[in-house]
Amino acid sequence: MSNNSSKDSSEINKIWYYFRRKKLAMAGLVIVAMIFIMAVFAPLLAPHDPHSITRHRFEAPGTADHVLGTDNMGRDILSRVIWGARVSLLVGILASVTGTIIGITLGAVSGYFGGWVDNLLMRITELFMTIPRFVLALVVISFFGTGINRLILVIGFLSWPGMARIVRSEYLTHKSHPYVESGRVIGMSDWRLIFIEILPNVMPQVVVVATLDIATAILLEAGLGFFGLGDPNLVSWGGMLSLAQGYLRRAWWMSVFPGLAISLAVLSFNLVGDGLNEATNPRLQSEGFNTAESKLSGGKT
Amino acid sequence: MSKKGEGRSLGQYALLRIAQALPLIIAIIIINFLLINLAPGDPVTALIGEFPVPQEYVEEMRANFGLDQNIAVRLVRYLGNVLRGDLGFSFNYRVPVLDLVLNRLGRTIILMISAITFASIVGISLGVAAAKWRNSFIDNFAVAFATIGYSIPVFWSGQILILIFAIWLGWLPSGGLQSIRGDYFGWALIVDRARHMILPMLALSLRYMALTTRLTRSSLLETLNSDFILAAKSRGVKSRGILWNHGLRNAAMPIITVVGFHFTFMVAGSALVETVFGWPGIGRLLYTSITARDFPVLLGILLVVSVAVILVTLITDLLYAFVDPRVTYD
Amino acid sequence: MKKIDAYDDYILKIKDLVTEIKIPGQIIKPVEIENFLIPEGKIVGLAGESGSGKTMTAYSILDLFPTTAARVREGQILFKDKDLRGLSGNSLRKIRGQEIGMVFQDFSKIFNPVIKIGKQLKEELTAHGIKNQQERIARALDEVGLARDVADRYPHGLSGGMLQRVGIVAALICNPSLVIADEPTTALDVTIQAQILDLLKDLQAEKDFSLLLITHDLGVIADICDYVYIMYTGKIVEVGDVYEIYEAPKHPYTKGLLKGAFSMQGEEKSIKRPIKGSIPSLSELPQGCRFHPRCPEVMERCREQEPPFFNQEVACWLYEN
Repeated sequence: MSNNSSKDSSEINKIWYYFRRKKLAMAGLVIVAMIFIMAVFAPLLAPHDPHSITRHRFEAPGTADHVLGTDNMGRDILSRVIWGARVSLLVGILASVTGTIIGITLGAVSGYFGGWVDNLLMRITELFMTIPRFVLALVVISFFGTGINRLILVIGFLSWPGMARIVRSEYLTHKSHPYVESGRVIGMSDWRLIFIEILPNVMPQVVVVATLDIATAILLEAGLGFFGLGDPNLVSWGGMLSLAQGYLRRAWWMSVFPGLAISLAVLSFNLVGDGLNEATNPRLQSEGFNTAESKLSGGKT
Repeated sequence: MSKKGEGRSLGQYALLRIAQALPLIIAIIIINFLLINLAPGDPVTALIGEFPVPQEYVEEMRANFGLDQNIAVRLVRYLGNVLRGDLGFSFNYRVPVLDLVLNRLGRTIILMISAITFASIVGISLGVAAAKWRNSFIDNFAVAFATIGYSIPVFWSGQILILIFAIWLGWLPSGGLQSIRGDYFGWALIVDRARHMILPMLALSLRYMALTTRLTRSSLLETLNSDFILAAKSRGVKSRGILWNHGLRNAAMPIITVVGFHFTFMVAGSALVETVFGWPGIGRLLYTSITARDFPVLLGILLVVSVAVILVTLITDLLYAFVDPRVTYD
Repeated sequence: MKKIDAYDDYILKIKDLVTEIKIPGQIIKPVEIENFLIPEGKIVGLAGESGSGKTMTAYSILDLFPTTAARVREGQILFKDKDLRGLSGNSLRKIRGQEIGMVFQDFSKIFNPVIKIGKQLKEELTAHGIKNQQERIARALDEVGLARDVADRYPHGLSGGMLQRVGIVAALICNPSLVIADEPTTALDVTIQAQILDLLKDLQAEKDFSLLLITHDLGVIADICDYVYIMYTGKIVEVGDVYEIYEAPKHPYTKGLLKGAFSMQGEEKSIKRPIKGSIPSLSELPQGCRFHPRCPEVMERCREQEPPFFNQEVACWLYEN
């Protein structure tokens, strides 16, 4: 096993080596880190209580006390943006994790066993890809009521199909590799092969998709918040935009700053995901040179 | 691989794909049914909404839905009702749900079609330019636009468009279907409505445009890199011909697939954009029905929209089969 | 037969050609040819193991590479005594297809899969301003033994042999005076290889174009060529008329290749590996003669100095004087 883990760490080093070279991906990583810091240290970083209502209503940005201005109830926008990072990150990450667990399980079983199991599971996947998940999420949350746990579960349960498909195709190629065949020969159980032998080799792809799924989950959560279905007890960027909608003429800053925050968060996770994708996929690593070489040698056999 | 015409014809293939779409539609109706049954409290609430309705009506709904029967009977009844077009009654609007939804559908479709058209024209042109002049300024711009545009939530881009074009510049109306006080007829009415549609259309198209730009660029680059392009050049074919006849034609296929595949984006986007701009389509109806807790309408929208997505997927599949002679219609 | 450099008219003369490819961290030179001649109306072979730079030579002639990382760095490519390297993009385009036709190895990939064959041939004719397209295509298909309705089919509806015939049509339809055929039969079934080769030979005799035939298979060369160049790591190591080379090969590399060629035909099966080792990577070329690590007749001198081309025949120290 020590052999195995050293192989893993060298794999991670290699991915990191390529990832580090991509300026945009690194920029994304820096923004992600900043949002993390904002979320974790919100109570220390926020200059005001995000919920405290004051009589400084609709104060424009730029004052010493309220750098990004105040909203219709005199609450400090900067503090609310900082606290909002908590909900976005929490929902984004946990929903993506939920979706990933479901996606890996279904995709692995589907790809590994094939046959009617695969057929059935892929039909279900197709169904879930077809249903407009934003609308379904809206309906489910209106029925069952909101709250951060429900948001995480609903978004998570609606975001596994992409993961399942990719994991399935990875398992399809891996299951005929010699290491799996020999595992089968020495009598390893299917479950051991699926979750202990093959899974680590599929992880790079899983991490890429999971990262991109965080971005989508953040967008979805913001959309639900905008529809007034966010957790009413927590500050969320989507909810801030929902509120801003009514005061666009009066207070542009109520819309601009939370919107920027969502966009930056989504952008940064997308950049990191794209960067990871290129770093884990050797075919994309240095477009031009590698393809040139493989093409030239491939042309004459 | 069989030659086109030897296996199934395109018409037969279309029938087959329609047959495959039917179980999906049934499955979606079943999901709706499960939602009603799993809803907390009395399932009748999910059928009526939270309105003070006469007790007789509640009892009638109970019987009609078969709440006193076992679940299998209920499911069959529900399927029957839905297939007959009975999606329930909206107490908020005092009309049958299906009428309400179909009535709003047209406006949403107009918004979506104009957004998709606009996004495709701009996105494909930008993607082609980027691939043609690779690593130039326009390429960098296209890549940046595609990355950023894909990350901005549509409702925020809607608000920003209102701030810039309606509030600060005052060029365009900030929302609604048409001018409230305007008494327009004929041509003037069309112009007035078009002016109201510009901003929502822009907001809705942004994300799609980013997606199309990115896809066109990468797909075209890959095509232009393929062996048959080199071979065509070796035969002396002009580079303009190569770009248009070979490059774009082949690049179009992945674009068709993905654009169809991401149609659900557009559904979500439309709901949000309509809310931002007060555009009286399905999305706006969704928002008001959530606020009013008008559950039959919510379920009706979910059903209609899901069926629409299935149809769009079907159409893109057929379009693909039509464009690509290699598809063997299995 | 007279020597290849004793002719009056040459369709193609290459002088001091260097082609380079940028790879991460360095530049490699897949082609370094000092002198290369194709006499008018002759069939000239270019042979060597895969990776020896044969295909890159063909790409260099047309200045057409599958990657932007490759380019011709220096040298002259005289086609009908006119240097192709001095031509503008559009003049060079007119020469491709119309004056120089190319037959590719991988016929399954050289036509756009979603456009009908006839349309792709018309596109070529249009590019060179040729009229009567319908008639011309029908005649060209006849000449290679294909039915006329092939023009209405898509590439994936044709067999390999048929596709390569269409490939030949595409190369010949504008009546070029030089045809470059890059491993035209390698990817085909053995039975069809001979047919395609015969077809090329017949068409050459009939239309009197010059043919550059690139292959790793010396059997193919023996079949149809007048002269042959032997290439190793981008350099020409030997040239001669086909009989001479087969009767009395000089370069140890040629000798090795020939043994391989005959063992392929089953006569001397005892020789399993005609040449030991494998072709070196262009980024790690050995000192001295590039072939010396694999050469059975290696001498001290070979390790230090690269041999010049002796007597316009062979680049090997064994033949100094």
